[in-house]
Amino acid sequence: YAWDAHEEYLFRAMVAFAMRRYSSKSMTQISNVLLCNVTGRVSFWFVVTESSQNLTTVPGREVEAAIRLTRHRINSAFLLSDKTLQFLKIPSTLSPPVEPSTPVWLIVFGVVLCLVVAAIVFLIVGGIRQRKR
Amino acid sequence: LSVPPEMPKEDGRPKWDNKLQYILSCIGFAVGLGNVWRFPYLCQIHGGGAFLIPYFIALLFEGIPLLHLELALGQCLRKGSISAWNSISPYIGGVGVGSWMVSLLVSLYYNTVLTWVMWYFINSFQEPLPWSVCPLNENRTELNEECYESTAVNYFWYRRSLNITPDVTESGTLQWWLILCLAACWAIVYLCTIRGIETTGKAIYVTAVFPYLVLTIFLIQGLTLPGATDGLAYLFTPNLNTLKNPRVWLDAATQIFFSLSLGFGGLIAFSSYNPPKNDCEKDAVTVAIVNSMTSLYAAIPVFSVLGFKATTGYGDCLDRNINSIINEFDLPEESIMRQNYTAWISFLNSSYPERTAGLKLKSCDLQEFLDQSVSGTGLAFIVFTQAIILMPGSQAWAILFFIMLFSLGLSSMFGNIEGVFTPLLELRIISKSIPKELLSGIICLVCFLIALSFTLGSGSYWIDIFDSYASSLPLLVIAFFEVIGVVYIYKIKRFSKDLKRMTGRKPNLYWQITWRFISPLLLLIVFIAFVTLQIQKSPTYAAWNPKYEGFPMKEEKVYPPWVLAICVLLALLPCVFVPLIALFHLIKRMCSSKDPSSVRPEAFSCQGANS
Repeated sequence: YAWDAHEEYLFRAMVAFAMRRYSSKSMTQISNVLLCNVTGRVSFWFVVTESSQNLTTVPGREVEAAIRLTRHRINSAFLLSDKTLQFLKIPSTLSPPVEPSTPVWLIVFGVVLCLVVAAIVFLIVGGIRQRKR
Repeated sequence: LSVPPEMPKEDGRPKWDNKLQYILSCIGFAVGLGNVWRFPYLCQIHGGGAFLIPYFIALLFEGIPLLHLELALGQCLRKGSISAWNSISPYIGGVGVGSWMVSLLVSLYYNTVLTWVMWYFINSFQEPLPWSVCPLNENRTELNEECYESTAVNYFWYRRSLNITPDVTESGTLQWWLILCLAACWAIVYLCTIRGIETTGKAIYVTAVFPYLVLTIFLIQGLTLPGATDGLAYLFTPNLNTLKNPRVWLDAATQIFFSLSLGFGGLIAFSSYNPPKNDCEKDAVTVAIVNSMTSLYAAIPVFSVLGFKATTGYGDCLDRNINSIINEFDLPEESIMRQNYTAWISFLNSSYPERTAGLKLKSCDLQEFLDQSVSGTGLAFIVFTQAIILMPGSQAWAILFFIMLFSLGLSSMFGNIEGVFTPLLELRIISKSIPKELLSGIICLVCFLIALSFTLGSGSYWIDIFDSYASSLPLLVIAFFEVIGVVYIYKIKRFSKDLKRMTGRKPNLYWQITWRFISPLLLLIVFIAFVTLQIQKSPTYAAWNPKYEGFPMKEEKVYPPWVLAICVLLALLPCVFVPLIALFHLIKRMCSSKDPSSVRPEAFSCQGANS
């Protein structure tokens, strides 16, 4: 999809949503989010201003923390991922690899070993029987 | 002079159910892991298609004659290696003992390689594959450092599978998961060799044929992968200049020799179970040609996959560079594609040289990716596993690949175990009342206990040592004395007569010339060249040391003297039996030279020759 003014509006809405979710200030409006330096690469800077006074900006750390909290929602809104939608200075938290309770390989190993031991016992017993005859 | 009664046809010796089992066993023994992971590597570094020239010359003048010799010998004498050489002449009985010793040493470490294959096989049932992701470190903040600096595949191989120590002198601890897999592998070997060829004959139908099936599947899959043609072109483009390097000829000769598994005594054991009237000449030519064809056939999927991996790596490199450029110059997405990358780079270099240089772009060169050649365990467990991650449906490919490697190795193990088992069965020390199952069980148990030392942290270093020293030099010595023994002690005229009796025709001029002159001469030259090269090469090994500055490159370390002593011991131990036993019999003969009842060696010959 192409990046136009409507997408920008959605982005500002998502950032406002993130601020509302994070901080007690639930009065952040979309108009408090300002974008600047928009380039054709689709990269830009943005700041969030205090709702009451339009001149001071919310400290960067708070914005970072807010975005971190709702990163997944922001990604989904734009159908992007952590790799394709990058926030500079906000590293993505890594998801730990899935580890099942019993390692899968032990199960496979158990199956293989049981089959082999059963076959060995079968052959040995067969040999003993043949010798008795 | 009374004619001794004719030997009964049924002498209680086990025999093959049919000829196919015998041929498949020989092929399975010859076709092993080396066909998949050593031959393509040699082809690649020695000028591609041009390597086939020395390879086929070596096959013609060294491989086929020696193979025919061993098969004919076993079939003629109908005994395992120790007794067979004792019958030819007690003075060269040492050759038989030497090959028995080599078979034992190789069985020890070869099954540990199969252990690794089995470990990877049982780990292939996970989603995602365990070697595709890096685990997190203890605080769960970042990826594990060792894994991050090298690759996930390297980490899984060196840390999670081998748990390798940084030095061969540090033994580390026994890795319990490897012990489990080792036990399973030896159990499988015991299952298949429990009654000698009765059971291996049945198992060989599967283990010898299955790899071809999987190779074909990989061939079809490999050829459809993008970049396969680059890999194949790289492999087969002949570079005739390499033929000027004598190293290439030496590698071809040694590759043919070790690939056909000559000198182990296993082939003699296999053919000793044949009926006496069997065309061993045709068998020898068939086995040798099938072995070489398999090497070539296996090289195709291997190189298709390697070409695919190189192309993917090259594409990733380009993409990373494109990403940094786009980020730096704020260009719109998809303005730089792979096709116009070079045009863009030259434009940017001319217009903004400092900014472009500041990006520190890695130069992406497809040739460089293709040049990364690996052989041996590195090919299977690092390079190939990485390529498998990139394929769709990786679990299935991984499972197929490791089952194929396992069958290849297992059929070679049968030959090794037979080389140990058959001579023991025939020794008079082992009384007839010991059932075969018990003897094979004892062999497998003893080998398992000794092989536990390979599951230590430093195990893979020791396996490299065994591979380089125990299974290379002694085989050359043994094969040389085999040819000399048959041609000059047993006398080639008698041998030709035996062959005429077995196959119905005398060996033609080709066999006469190669047996008498060319093969022994070639073996001598190869032996001398090999020893010279080994001595010149400094005895170093590449160690995996996470604390090394150049990590993830491997650290070059020198073997300590006691390890070198073991290397020399391994190389000399099988060879030393040849002169020792000759000396022993010489002394015995000199002491009892007054005793007229001492039997002259000439009296022994092929059974039933007195017709």
